[in-house]
Amino acid sequence: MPFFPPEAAPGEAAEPVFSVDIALDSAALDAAQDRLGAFLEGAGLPAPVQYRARLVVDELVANLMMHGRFAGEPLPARLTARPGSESLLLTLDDAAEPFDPRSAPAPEAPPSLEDDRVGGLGLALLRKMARILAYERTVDGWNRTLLAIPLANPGAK
Amino acid sequence: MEDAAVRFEVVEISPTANKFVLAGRLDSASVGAVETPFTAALAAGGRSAVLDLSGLDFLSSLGIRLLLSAGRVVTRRGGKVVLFGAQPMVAEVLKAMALDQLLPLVATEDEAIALLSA
Repeated sequence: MPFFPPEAAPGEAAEPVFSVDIALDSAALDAAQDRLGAFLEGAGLPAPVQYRARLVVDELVANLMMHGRFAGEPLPARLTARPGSESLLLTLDDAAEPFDPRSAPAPEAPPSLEDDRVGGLGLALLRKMARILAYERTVDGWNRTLLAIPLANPGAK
Repeated sequence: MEDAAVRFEVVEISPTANKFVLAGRLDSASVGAVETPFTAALAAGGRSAVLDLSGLDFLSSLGIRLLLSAGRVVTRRGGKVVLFGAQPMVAEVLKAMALDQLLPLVATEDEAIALLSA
């Protein structure tokens, strides 16, 4: 599977990279989140960044489990985490039909107690907790979403 | 972060209010296990509720949806829901989604109980 970004940016020291395949079921997601958490803890990332990373993975993979459509059997998604000097970069690859989280609709208004709608909250929260840097459809027909969580003052973006 | 699925217990605090103590992680993997019993317990109480979030390590959008359902169930019966004791990141998620505008979020149980009768 192609890997994005292919290498550390010029001038940026090579950092440890974490990668895990996540089968699309709750137990696998939970296990992958625990492994990611252990990696981020070992890399010395602040607790708020660890929380955001777990949240991003939860929202994206839960979205895939609930809404992802696959040509055949659902394939596991692949998560890659790369701590950089300013941000934690997360890449999620999945084999579902095209889904661009930058343009997908999500409610702009806050939820209400009268509103029984079920969609969009996860995406709205994702956009508040991370920056979606890029989305692309790869040559082998996968979705690839690249996100960044700032290491300092992660609430600022 | 603690490795624990979400769990809850109900404590009667007055003739008109219950306390629900939520602990663990309220995420996509765990929310399904508590959604029905939690909402049923809120409805069966027929009272206002304060939700103790101090033991809640993690909250994602599906957990927010559960809290919204809780608020809906209780307010339809004329009660109130007040949240208290959220850890910093849980509080940040609640505020990011403006949930604190719907369900008041305060620091302590005493403040929460005071808001019920306000």
